[in-house]
Amino acid sequence: MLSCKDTAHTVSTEDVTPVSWRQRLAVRLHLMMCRHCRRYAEQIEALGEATRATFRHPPEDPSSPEAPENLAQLQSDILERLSQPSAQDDPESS
Amino acid sequence: MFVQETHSREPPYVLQQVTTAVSNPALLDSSDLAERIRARDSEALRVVVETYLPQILRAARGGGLKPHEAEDVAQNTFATFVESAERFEGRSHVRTWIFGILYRKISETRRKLGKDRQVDDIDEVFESRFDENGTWSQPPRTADAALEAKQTRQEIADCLEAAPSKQRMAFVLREVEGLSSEEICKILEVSSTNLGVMLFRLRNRVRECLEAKWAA
Repeated sequence: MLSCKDTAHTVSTEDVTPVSWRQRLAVRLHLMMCRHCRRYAEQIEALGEATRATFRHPPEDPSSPEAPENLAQLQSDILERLSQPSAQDDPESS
Repeated sequence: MFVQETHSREPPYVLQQVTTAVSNPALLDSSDLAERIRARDSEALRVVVETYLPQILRAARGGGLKPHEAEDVAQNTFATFVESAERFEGRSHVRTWIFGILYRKISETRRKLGKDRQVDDIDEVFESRFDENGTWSQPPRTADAALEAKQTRQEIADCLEAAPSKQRMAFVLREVEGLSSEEICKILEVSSTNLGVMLFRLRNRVRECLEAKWAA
């Protein structure tokens, strides 16, 4: 049977590392039988969800650059800056 | 029945969440995008900035920058993007290119601020939780509150603060931006094995850090 250590390792990397079906099955079986690993897996999952909730939610601070008015302003500032070629990145001028 | 109107006549506007109304998204996949950026074609620039600015700001915040730092980094990211358009040949997607620039700017900023930690002992910490058979000797503690509680958000932000920039960026690109591991590898210039190691370390580091707070 797969050890707890191997299970925890797989659980925390399986979304970016290819896992064979055999390994996947071994992990699922282990999780069914081991409450500690189940708890670990739930915490790894919840960590992702909580991080998504934290950063997908724009800051409530109205001075944040992500606030809609500031975003529109920043967008036009950036576009203005980009539309004016500076001397140093224009090879024709040197 | 309520039928949703198409909003083609309205000016572009930004939604609260992840989506932005972009006037011509197909342009991002067109083969002459690089050429149009090099020529500073105003429509191409506008579509790129409209599409990626909200994501860039969010990823910069996720990467550990304060709002004003995120704003500076976003400005510089687009400036570098246009200046380096000579080298962008459309081999990778424009998003991969922009996020690669963003990542380098974030790590530069964090290094300057002295926030980039180099020492990483999480592998030993992880090992120490198991006995010689690989069975938990110190099993995970129960979270005393649901992980989505507001207080916990602050704790997660604090725990992420201690992580190296690259690990942190890998985690944010994966969990918040939902990018594929293939794209994250290109952005961070790492192998897929390396990406697995980085996410393993980040997740375990943050889990350990939160657990220490639950125990307190």
